Amino acid sequence: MKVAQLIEKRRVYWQELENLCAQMANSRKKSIGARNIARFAMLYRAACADLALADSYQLPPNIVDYLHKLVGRAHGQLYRSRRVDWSKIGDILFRQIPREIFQDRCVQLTFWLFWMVFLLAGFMAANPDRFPSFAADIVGAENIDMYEQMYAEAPSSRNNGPTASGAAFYVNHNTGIGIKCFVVGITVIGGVCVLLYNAAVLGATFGHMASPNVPEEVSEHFFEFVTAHGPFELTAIVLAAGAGLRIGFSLISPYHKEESLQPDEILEGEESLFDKSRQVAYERIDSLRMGAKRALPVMGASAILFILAAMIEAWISPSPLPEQAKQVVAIFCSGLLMVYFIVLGYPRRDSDATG
Amino acid sequence: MVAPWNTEAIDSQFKVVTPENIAFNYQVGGPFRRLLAFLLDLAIRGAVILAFFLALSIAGLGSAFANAGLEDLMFALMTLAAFFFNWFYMAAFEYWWNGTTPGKWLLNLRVTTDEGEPINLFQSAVRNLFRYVDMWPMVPLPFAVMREEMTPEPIVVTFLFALIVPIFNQRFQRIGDLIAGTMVVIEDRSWLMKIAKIEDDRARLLADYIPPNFVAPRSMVKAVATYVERRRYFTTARRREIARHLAEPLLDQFGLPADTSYDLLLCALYYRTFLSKQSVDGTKDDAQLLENPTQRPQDYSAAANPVNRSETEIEEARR
Repeated sequence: MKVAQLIEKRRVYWQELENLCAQMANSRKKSIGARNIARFAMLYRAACADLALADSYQLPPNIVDYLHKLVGRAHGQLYRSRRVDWSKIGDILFRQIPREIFQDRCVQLTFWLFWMVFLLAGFMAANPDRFPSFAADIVGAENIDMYEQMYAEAPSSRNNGPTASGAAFYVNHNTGIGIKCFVVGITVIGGVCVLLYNAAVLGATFGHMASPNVPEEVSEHFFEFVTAHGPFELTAIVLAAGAGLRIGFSLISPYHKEESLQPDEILEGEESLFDKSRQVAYERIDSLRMGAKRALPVMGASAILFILAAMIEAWISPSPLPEQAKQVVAIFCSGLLMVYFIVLGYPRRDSDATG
Repeated sequence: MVAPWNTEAIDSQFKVVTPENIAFNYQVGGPFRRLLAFLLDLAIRGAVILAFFLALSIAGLGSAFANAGLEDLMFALMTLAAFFFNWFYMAAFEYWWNGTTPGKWLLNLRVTTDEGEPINLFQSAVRNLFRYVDMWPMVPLPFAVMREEMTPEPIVVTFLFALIVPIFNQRFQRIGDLIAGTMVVIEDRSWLMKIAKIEDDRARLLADYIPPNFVAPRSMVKAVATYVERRRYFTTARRREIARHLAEPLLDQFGLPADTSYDLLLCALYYRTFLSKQSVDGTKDDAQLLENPTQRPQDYSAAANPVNRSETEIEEARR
């Protein structure tokens, strides 16, 4: 067997494949030309065959190593990252996500947690005679002073009215908080803590502003400012935290309900003792992956809400519009959310038929 | 689950089976190379931001914008750019650059899925969003009660998750990698590929003394090749020490004098196996089988299909 000769002959092809790989990595596919692509495919198949036969040829180990690397590199160029299919985005946004959210136990949980704590903190902060230092303990005395100074003037005269840079600031700041809230959800406790912290601080701020400690003018300015963007922003926080918890819980409990699975994901089932639905147990790592797959669309919806809220916060809330107009915006936004979550999200028969 | 005694687990190789039904190995990227790539990316981001601010302040772009009355728009764009830079720099590069970022590209790293396939947008987004968890456990002190007489937000970023999670799995996956189902592999772009040359004539002479009907088993061929390719790094005494274990029984088997150099014997075996004209199993006609279709490229289809090939082998053997 003349292994050395064999390798010398093959090497020409291998090096050509290497060169093509380098070309394909550096330039776009179209500029390479059909001839080169066909040549690449052929050389790749040949290298694959060489690798497969390397053992029976008894090639030296370093040549086999080289072939592994070469085939791996060519494989990476042949199978490249896929582009997104934007045609399905409408279906995902207006059919799948609302239903997902409507059924998601984690979003329900975060919804109740957030609003209970929010209302409780609001109630306690709004009654300073019974809970004298509550708001100052939760939010911080210096923050409260700052808020009171901030809202001493009407929103329209406070920061030069609506600006594009304001909108960008709110997108950056609030969406950043939302993403953190989502990501930290994997630790469950961390996610719940962040959610409760936000609920407590927001609730205490709202409650304090409504309390008799604050001059009426200031509280009016405050509520005029926050009314318009409140519905979107608070909902977005709840959704982000819910999506995060979905990932955390899918790690803790690797059971998924059979009806919520794609057909190709179903493994052997297991009857649940508590409710009469079939559950499917996964390995924890696979369960985590599925949880992420289901949580990311919810997070996407949350991010969209954050951006919409930022736009309203920047353009409408500080604008010189009358307070009634801002209330109308708030009511309109709440109505939109209702339609989105309840009308679009209510489980329907055709989801069974298609799923 | 890879068994602990499996060598794949030890040398961090990961086997990928391609759609062409060929298995090849990827080398999984280790934590230190990845840390370096991360730091490089961090430096690149810092440099871009610095260049941006220099352009604004020194080159006078900022005042130009202000004079044009676009200051507000400029601040808006800057904030948004910072937002996307912060959260989506890595994800965008990994999506458009086929799993590499500038830092990864410089260090020959690439992100693939668990199966060695390219990642999609969903995976690149998830694995990079969860970088934030890597910094955990962060120790923020949230309420005013807790942070008496302290700076507003004392946060301790420990990066413990990034350190601990990769230890507990085979492919050094971070939390984001585990969730998105991705891994980082090393993709070498330059390497040396050589067959070791046997300059020593004595080895060639000695090869003639190896019995012509001796066929080295596959594992022995591997061991001999690995030894010969690395022997130039060893001193003579060390060569003797390493080669002894294999050479002593072989000398015994071949009936050669026991004082033959062990190193020389292994070189001779290497020469016999890979370099000499004489075939290992004594038959000459399979040399023709190994001849490659050098002229016409279409003949590769025959080589690419091992089943066809073995059929032709059988046919030729019949003749």
